[in-house]
Amino acid sequence: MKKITFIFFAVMFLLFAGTIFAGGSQDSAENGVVTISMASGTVGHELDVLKEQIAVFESENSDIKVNLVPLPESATERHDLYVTWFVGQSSDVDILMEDIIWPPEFGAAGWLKPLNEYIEKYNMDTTDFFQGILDVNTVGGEVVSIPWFTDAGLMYYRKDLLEKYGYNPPVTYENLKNIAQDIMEKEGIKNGFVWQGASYEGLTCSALEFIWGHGGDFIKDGRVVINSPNTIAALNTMKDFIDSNVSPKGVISYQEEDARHLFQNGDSVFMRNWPYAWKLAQEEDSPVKGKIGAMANPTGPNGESSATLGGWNLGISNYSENSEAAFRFIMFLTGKEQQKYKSMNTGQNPTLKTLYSDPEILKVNPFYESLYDVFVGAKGRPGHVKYAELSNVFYTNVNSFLVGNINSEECVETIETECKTILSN
Amino acid sequence: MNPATGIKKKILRLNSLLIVFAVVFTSVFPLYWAANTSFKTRNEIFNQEQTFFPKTFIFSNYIEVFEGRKFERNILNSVIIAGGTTIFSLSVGLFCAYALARLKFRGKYFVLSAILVVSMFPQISILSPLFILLRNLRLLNTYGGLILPYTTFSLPLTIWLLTNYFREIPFGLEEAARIDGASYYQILSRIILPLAVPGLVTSGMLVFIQTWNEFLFALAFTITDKTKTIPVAIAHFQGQYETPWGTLMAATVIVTLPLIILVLFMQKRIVSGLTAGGIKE
Amino acid sequence: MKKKEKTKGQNRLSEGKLAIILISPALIIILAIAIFPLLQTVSYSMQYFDLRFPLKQEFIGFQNYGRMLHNRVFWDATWNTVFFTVVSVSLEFAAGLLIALLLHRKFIGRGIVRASVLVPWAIPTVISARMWQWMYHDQFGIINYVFIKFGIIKEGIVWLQNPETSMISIIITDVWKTTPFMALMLLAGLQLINKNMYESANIDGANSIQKFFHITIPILKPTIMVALIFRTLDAFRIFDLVKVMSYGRPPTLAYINYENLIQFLKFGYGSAISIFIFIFIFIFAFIYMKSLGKKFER
Repeated sequence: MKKITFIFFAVMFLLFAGTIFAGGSQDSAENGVVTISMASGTVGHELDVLKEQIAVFESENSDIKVNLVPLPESATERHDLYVTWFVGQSSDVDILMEDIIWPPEFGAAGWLKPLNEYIEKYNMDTTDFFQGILDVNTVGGEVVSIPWFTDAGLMYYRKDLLEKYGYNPPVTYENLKNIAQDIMEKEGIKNGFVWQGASYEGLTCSALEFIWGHGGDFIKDGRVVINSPNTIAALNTMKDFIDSNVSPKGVISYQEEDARHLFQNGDSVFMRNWPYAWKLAQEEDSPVKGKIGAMANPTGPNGESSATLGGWNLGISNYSENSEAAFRFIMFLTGKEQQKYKSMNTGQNPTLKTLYSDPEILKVNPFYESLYDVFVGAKGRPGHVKYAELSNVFYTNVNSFLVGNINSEECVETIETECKTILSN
Repeated sequence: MNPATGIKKKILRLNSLLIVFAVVFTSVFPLYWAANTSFKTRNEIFNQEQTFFPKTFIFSNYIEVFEGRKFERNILNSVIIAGGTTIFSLSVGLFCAYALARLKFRGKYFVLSAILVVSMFPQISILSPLFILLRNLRLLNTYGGLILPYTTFSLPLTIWLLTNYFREIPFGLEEAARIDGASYYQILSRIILPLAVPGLVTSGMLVFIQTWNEFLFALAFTITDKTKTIPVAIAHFQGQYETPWGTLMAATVIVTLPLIILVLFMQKRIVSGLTAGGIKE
Repeated sequence: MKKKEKTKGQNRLSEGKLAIILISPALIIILAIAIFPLLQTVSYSMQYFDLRFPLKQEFIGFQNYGRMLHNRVFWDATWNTVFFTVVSVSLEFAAGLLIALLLHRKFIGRGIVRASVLVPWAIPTVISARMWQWMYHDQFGIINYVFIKFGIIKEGIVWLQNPETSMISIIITDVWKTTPFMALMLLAGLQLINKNMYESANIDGANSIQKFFHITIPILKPTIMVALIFRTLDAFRIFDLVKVMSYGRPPTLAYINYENLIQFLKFGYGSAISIFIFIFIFIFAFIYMKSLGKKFER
């Protein structure tokens, strides 16, 4: 009995001591075949296309295998995950999909592998990339990520309804409001204009378009300039949409998908969203297939039509043990051929200028041509290392304002004070 | 007894019945609603008109839970990590509890205080140094990287429960055995251990459930599906563009059902475990 | 050194030494994984330690604490956390007591009732969060649906994102989830009460209310104390629900702590918040330990 008990405990102990190191990262090089891991969204169209691209790449490069690491959909969650990986100095993930606002932050922290040496070694042509996007991906003179696909905020509208009632697409927000109200009444549609007003990064994107459209700004050249009459006017315009019931009260909780649901179901006349919504709205089972149009954002007085620059870029973790193999895959994905394939199958915008005049692409995404200027002129959010903190202050206060807890003056004052504090620390 | 009292009693009984019904209803409704949703089609879910039973009954959500994700792996991870924690915690806690319950030594209060302090810990307070510690030990994204902290934080509960169980065992048995010349080891294995089995089972279950449930550390210390546990997988559950509520609710049911069954069968033990030690005397 | 004399000589170990051997694994683990990192956090909290500026790490004394105490978001979060704790625990206590009283009597189907009461407790918090999040959905949630059908409201409330309702929503879910625990603890306490006391009270002509306040509550006091303190400590640390269900609304201390560490990479400042939370909890724990201290005198 004694022996059995002892053996039992010993075995148990050993078994579980053994699991301590289990589940860890595997050796990534066997027989000269290197396995690289790429963090990406992994469901639906995006995944299918990526899988196909991986198959092609692996067949052309027999010494590399690509493994996908799934990511949550929310950009904030992705950011948090990346941070834990970086601080943990994990070599488990080689390639990371980065939101356009992260390279300055990650680059400054030294978490991204500088890519200039590989760009030179493999003679990668970077001239066809949109310069503005490439600049955001360059930190301290070194390129730290390669632009993969880009995004800009667009105004979607019900082309069929506007035509029916003899309206031209609105150029001002005032105009948009009137058209929306009219059509809402005549067609019995519940919502006039849906956008993203939840307390998250997407609100910063939406709100900046309103603000720039009224001639205001948030942070310019590293200085906080948000406290201006133009910005206040922009905020009031946003609130007015809600107060006049053109935008539903629920808009203060909407992210991209919530807005798209409504618009695609035919429950809204206008929608502010990213280009991805186009393809989905044109699918077979969409109630608004063939009935929509997309245009540049309207403006308020004093401003010019603006779109917030979005988009995702591919970087390599500085803790990766296979950075060269990773770079070869990135070069493949961001090359002309693959970007074209991706654009035609997911509707996501390429980052190469010449593709915007490619006839095959234009057949699938006709608005690339008409909106080319919007994409080229899309404005970036403040590219500062502390952007996450600054944006957090911005969107929590703007959301508070939209809900009605504070007025527009208090809102901009609080943002101004707190952002100045953050920048001075 | 006058008729008024009789009616009063009836009203009281009716009230009690209503309250019982309300309690059961509130406790169980969210789970029922989740199950209800899990069997519906997308159109029926995202509909202004809600139904309390699916008009069209489908199983595809349950299949989709495992497509494009490694959910089976997440379940396995949770089982291994919770199981490992339970075994470690019981082993380590067992010895410690015996010492605390049966032996005299200086510094007992110090040990007890240390243990109690740990049970009051806000885990968030040590997230960063623990993270860096695990990193330096190369334990991130490993089972050990979670089992170790989980064991630490389940020790107070285990030690607490087992100490109480041990105190129940009459000293006389031990005395007699020692007089007969039994070694400590023999006393432990032949007398104490068998008597402590109920306590071990209860503690084991509570530790298992507590670990199964944990979110914060799992979120921070797991990187890939190799070690990701169920709570993190559920938190990260996504569809391409929208939260796939039907599939998510199916995952919820899948994870919850075994737990519910476990709890139902063991409720007596759980109740006695939860309440032991806190309310003695 | 208290050593117990061995009458028969088979064991050479003294009780004290044996105790050390038996306790050391637990103690080592606790010191290494809990206590030592805590000291590290204290150390970080006194440094400028920002991962976005990795080269600037340096000792700065209490500056982080100073900044924290002057920060509006910090005070908002503190208030939210205190409010949440007080309201949540009160509701749990009331509901728990009610359920405990209910289950105390024998009636048909008591087993089923007790089993169903345990259901919320058995479900992992993250999963409860998702279930409730779905019920709270502003367009397709069952709660809005029922309210609208009954005419209580005209259009769906955005429960989780609207600052006016997000706190209540979180509280309700938390109360749902933790009342079973409270109920069980109180039930065990009830079962310690000697029925004879009620008998004598009946003979004296006491009514239900008098019996409740003069017998039940006083005897239940220690149980209530334990349950309340336990739950208060837990409620104060609330994180899972706020993170998963409402994405940081309303912000609580644990949430902004996590946010500062992981979102903003401010390890120094975030650690100051961590220590603040710890001290707050420690004071409570101290009270708890004091009240139970006498139990371990032997």
